[in-house]
Amino acid sequence: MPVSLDLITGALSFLFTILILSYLIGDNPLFKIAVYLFVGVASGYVAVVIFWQALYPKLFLPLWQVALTADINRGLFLLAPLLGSLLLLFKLFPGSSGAARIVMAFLVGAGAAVTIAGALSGTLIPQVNATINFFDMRSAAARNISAFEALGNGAILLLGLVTSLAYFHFGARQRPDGSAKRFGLIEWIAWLGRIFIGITLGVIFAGVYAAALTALIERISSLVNFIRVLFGIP
Amino acid sequence: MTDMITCPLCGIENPPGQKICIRCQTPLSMDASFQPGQAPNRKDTGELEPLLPQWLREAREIARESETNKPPEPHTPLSPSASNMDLLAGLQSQSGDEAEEEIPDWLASITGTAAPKPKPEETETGEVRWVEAGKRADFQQTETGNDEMPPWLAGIQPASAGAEDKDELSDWFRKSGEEAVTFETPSSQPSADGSPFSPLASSPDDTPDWLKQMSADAGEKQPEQPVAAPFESSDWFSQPSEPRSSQSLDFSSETPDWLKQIQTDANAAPSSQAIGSEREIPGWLGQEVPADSNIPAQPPASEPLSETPDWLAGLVAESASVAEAAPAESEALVSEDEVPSWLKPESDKSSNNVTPSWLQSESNTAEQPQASGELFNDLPDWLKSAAPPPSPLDKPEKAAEMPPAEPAKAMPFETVPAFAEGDLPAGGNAFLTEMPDWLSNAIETPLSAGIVPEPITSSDALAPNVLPSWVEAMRPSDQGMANILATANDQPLESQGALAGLQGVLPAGVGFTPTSKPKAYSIKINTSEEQLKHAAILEQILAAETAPVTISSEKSLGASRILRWALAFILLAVAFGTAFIRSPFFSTPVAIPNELNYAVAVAQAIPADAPVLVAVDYEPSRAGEMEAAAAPLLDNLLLIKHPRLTFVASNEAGSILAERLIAGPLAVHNYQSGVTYLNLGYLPGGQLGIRAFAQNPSATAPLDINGQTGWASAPLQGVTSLSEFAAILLITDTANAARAWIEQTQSVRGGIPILVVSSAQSTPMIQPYYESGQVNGIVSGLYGGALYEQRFNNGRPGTARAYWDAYSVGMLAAAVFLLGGGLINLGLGLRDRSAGKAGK
Amino acid sequence: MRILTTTIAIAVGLLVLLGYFFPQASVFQLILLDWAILFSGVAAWVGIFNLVMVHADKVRRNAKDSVYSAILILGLLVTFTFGLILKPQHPYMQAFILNGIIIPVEAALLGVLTVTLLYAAIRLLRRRSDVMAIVFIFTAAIIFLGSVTLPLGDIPILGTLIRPWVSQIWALGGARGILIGVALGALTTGLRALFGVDRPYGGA
Repeated sequence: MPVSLDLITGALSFLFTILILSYLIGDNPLFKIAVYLFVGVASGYVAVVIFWQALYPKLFLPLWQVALTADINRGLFLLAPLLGSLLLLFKLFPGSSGAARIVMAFLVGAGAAVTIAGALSGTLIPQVNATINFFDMRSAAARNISAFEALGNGAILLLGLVTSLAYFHFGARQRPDGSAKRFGLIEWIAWLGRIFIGITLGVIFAGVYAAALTALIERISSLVNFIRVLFGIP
Repeated sequence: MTDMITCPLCGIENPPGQKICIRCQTPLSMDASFQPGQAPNRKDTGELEPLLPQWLREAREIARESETNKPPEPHTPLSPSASNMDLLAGLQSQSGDEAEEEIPDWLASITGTAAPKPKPEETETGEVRWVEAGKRADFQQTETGNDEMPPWLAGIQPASAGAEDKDELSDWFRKSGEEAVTFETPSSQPSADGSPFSPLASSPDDTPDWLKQMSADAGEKQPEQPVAAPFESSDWFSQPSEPRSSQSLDFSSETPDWLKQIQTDANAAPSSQAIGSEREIPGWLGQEVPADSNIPAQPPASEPLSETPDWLAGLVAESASVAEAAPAESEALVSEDEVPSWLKPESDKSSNNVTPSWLQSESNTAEQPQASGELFNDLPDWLKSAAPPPSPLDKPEKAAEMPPAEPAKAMPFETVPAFAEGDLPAGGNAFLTEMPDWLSNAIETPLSAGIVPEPITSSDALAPNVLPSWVEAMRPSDQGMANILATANDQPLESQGALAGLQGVLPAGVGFTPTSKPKAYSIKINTSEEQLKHAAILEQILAAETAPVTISSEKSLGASRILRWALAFILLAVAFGTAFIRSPFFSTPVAIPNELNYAVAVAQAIPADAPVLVAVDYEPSRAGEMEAAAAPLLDNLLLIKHPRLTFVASNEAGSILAERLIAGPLAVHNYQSGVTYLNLGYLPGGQLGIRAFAQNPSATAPLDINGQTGWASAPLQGVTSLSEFAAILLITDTANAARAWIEQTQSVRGGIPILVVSSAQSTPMIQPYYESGQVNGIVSGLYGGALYEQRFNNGRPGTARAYWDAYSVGMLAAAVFLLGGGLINLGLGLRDRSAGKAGK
Repeated sequence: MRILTTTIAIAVGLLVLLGYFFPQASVFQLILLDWAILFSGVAAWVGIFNLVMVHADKVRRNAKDSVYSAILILGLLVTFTFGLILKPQHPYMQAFILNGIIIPVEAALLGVLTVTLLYAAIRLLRRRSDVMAIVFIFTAAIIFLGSVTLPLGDIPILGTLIRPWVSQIWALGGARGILIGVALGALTTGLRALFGVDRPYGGA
C-alpha cells in the first residue's frame, strides 16, 4: 500500500508540532533537535529560494546567456554585479572582509535613499495631512460621519498623536545631580502620551496574542486532523 | 615701688632704666636675657675660623701642606660633589633657618621643668631610612671606635667611654669618615693606620691636677667676669650646682693619660706643654705649638651674635668687649663664637640633659689657667669642675697672627648650610641620629639654590674638599662600618612596601639600576572631541553590556510553573476540544469594522479578469492565520471576478506560501500557474526590491518561479507597470512590510486600490494608513477573515469558522486571566512595594 | 578605502534619490536597485554560509551541543541539495520541507508563545503598576472581550462599540504617533548615511 504524500506530511507535521509543544513542559533534547533541524532546513530552503528566485534570474542566467550569445555589451553590463557579488563573498574571510565594504556601502547608500523618500512621501506627509483632514467636515460627511463625531474623534486622534510624539521627545535638561529631566510642559504632555501609547500597545498586544492563539489553534487542528486521518475518524 | 626692677638672679632691686643688675650684672631687660623655654638663636661660628688658635691654624697648615706634599691619598680628596664641604662651613649648618623652630633637648632640659622632648621627626628621606635601618650595628662600631681613640682624643671627648653616651663629635667625625668612605676607597681610613686609638678607662683619678686646680680656683674670680652673668639669668643656672659639679668631675675623671701628662706639664707651662707628650699623639699634635699666642681682637660680632642664643648673646657681647680690652687668652673661652664650631660637639652627650653641648665643649676646651681661672670664677662650680683638660684648641698663641675674618667674608657662613644636600653622602644622616635636634635640622636644611657660599679667602681657612689629616686621624675607626656603607651605597634602596627604607635587601641585577632620570613621555592621548564622544558612547555600551543584570529570583517558582502549566493546559484543552467537537458553538462576529467594509467594497469593485497583484509577505508561522484571513477575500474575488493573479513575495517564504495558498484554500478554483496566475517569486532587498518592482515590475522580476518569462504570459497580459494592475492585495503579517509596500508604491501606483490582509498583530499599525486613505481596506486576522467568510462569502472556505470557537474561547480565557490575574498581581505588587517601603 | 566607500554610498544614494523626483533619473535608479537586489541575495547567501561555518566549527571542535549543530548542518545540506535539484516550489519540497517541517515548527513555536504572552501579561502588574501598565492591561482586556463572541453573537456594546472605538480612534492616535516617529527616525538615519555621517558599512 503506497503511503500518500499527505500522510507523510501530516506525520512530519505532527511529529514536529509535538516536539515543539513539548517545550510547554520544559526544555528538552527533543525540542532542541526539532529547533536545530528547523533552522537548518529553513536556512537551506531560503538559500535555495534565493538562488532560484534571485541569483539565477539576475546573475547566472544572464551570464549564461552572455556566454551563449557572446554579447559583449551585456557582458560588460553584468560585470559590475558580478564583481560586487564576488566582493561580497570576501566577507566570509575575516582577513579580507574589507573588500566587501564597497558593496555594503552601495547597499547602504541605496537603502538610505529609498528610506528617505519612502518615509517622506509615504508616511510623514500623508499622515500629517490625514491628521489635519480628520477635521474636514466635508470629508466626514462623505464618509457618513457626523460633525460631532468627526470633531470628537479628531480631537482624540490629534491629542493622541501630539502626546505620543511628546512621549518620544527625549530632549532634557541635566540636573545638578546628573539626572535628566524634561521640560515641565513636555513632561506633562508626555504623561498623557503614555496613556495613548499604553492603549496602542494594549491593542497591539491583543493582536499579537490573537495571532499566536490562531497559530496554536491551527497547529492543534492539524494534529487533530492527522489523528482523524490516521485513525479513520470521520 | 613698682618701678624698681628686681634682678631675676639675685633679687636685688635695681633702679628703673637699669639694664643690668647692679650687683650681679644680670641683664634686666627681657630681651637681653634668656627666658626659660626660649629657643636659642642660631650661632654662626663659621666666620670665627680665622680666630682659631694659632696652634690650630698651624696644625691645619701643616695638615694642608702634608696633604699637598704627600702622595695623593685615596681618602683625602673628596669627590667634586663634596666640593663645598668645608670643615667649618659644616658646622655652620647650625644656622639653618628651621633649626630654631624646635627647642633642642638640651635647652628644654635647661628649664628644669621640661621633660626630655621626643626627638623631632626627621624627614622621611630615603637616606634617613637607610640610616635608621642600617646603622644600628654601625653605631656600636662607632663606639668601639671611640674606645680606640687616642687618649688625647678621649680627653677631648670626656665621656666617650660610655657606650650609651655617644658624643656628637665622634659622630661628626664618623660623618667625615663616611664621606671619605662614600666618595673614596675605604682602605685609606686613617684609623686603619694603626693610630694609637685605644680604649681608655676613665676614672676620677685620672683627673688632671691642673683641672683640679682650676676647679679649686673657680670660685675666687667669679665677680671679675661679667660674661658669666648671662648664665646666671637662666633657670638652670640657678639650680644647685653640686650635682653638676660632680658630673663634670666625672668628665674630667675620664681625662686620658696624655692629658694627664699635659696637665702635669700645664702646672708649669699651662698650655704650651700640653701637647708635649708625643707618644700617643698624632704627628701634627706632636709639633710644638707656641703657648703664648694671643688671640686677635674679636671681629665684629654682630653677625655671629645673630646666631647666638639670646641668653648667650649677652655673654658674647660681653666677651666681645672683654676681648677688646682684655687679653686674648680669654677669647677662646669666653665666646663660643670664637671657638671653632667643629669643636663644639665635643661635649659629652651624657651631659646634654644638664649642660648644653656647646657649653660642654667650651668647658672642655678651656685650657688657659690664667684666663680660665678668671673666667671660671663666674661659672658655677659644676662648670668649673667640668673644666676641660688642656686642649690644643685652647692655645691662642698665634691667634694674633691670624688675620681677622672680614665680616663680608663671614657672611656666607650664615646662609650656607654645613652640608649641602649634594654634599651629603648617602649615609651622611647617620651622623644626624646622634646630633642634637637643632643641629640635625640644620644639616637637613638644603642649600638654597640662589645662595652660593663664598669661599673662605683667609689663608687660614680650611681649603674646601680637603680634610685635614688631623681630622682624619680623629675620626673613629669605622673601617667595618665604612665597608658596610660602601657596600650599602651600591645597593638599591627600597622606597615602598614593608621593606621601605632598607637598602640592599632585594638583589638587583647589575645594569638594571637606571643611570639617569627616565625620560618623561606624555600619556595624554591626542584625541578629537568626536573621538572622545565615541569613546564615551562605547564605554556606555560596554558598561551596559557588562553590567550585571540583577535577576530577581522567583520566589514562587513552583507557583509560576504551575500557572504556566495551567494556562497551557487550558488553552490546549480548548483548542483540542473545539477541534474534535467541530460543531460550531459560538457565533461569528456581527459588528463589521469600517476597514473591512471598505475592503469588501474595493474587492467587489475590481473588474472581472483584471490583473491583480498579490504581494505576499508573511512568515510560515502565521500561515494559518493569514490563510484564514485572506482565503475568504481571495475566494470571493476568484469566485466573482476571476482576476488574473500575480504573486510576488517580499520575504523568502512568501512565494511558496502563495503556492500553498493557491493549492490549499483556493484549490477549488483550479488556478494554473502561467495561465490564471503567475508567481514572480521572491524580491530580495526589502524596500529596495519593492521600490524596484514598483518602478519597473517587468525588469525587476522578469521570470516567474519556474524560470519562465512571465510578463508575456496570460496573467500579465497588458501589464507593464504597477499602475496597470487593477488592485494590489497585500497579505502581510508585519507592519513594516505593509509600510514598505505602501511607501514605495505611493508615487507609482496611481489610483489603484490597495487592500491589506494583515495579521491581527500588525493591524493597529496599518490602521493609520487606512485612515489616511493610503490603504483602501483591511481584513484583519482571524476576526476579519471570519467576518468576511461568514458575512460576504457564504462561509467559504470555512477555515476561519473552524478556528473560531477555539479562538473565541481562547480570547475569553485570556481576558479572564488578564483581568483576574492582573488584579491579583496588582494587589500583590502593591503589597510587595508597600512592604518594601516599610522595610526601607 | 574609507573615502571610496563613503563616496560610493553617497553617490548611489543620490542617484537613487533623484529617481524619485526626476523621471529621467529613474533609469539609473532602476539599474542601481537591480544591482542592490542581487547584492542583497548574495549577502543572504553569505549569511547562510557563515551559519554553516560556525556550526561546522562547533562540530569540528566537538563542542557542547555539537550534535545539534551536526543536525542543523545535515538538514541544511539536504534541503539545499534537494532544493537545487527540485526547486523550492516542487510539491515534494512543499510537502516535506514547508508543510512538514517549517510551518509546523514555526507555528508551534508561535503557539507556545501564547502561553508565554498570557503569563507575562498576568504578571505584569506585579512588576510595575504605573498608569501605562494599567492602561495597557485594561485595553488588552477590552480588545480580548470585544473580539470574542458569545453563542448568540458579540458581547453587547463591548464588541460593537467600545472595541472599534478603542482600536480605531484611541489606538490610532498612538499608532500614528509611533509611525511618524519611526518615519522621522528613518529619515534622520537615512540622511546621516547619505551625508556620510554614519558609515555602517565600516571605515570608521
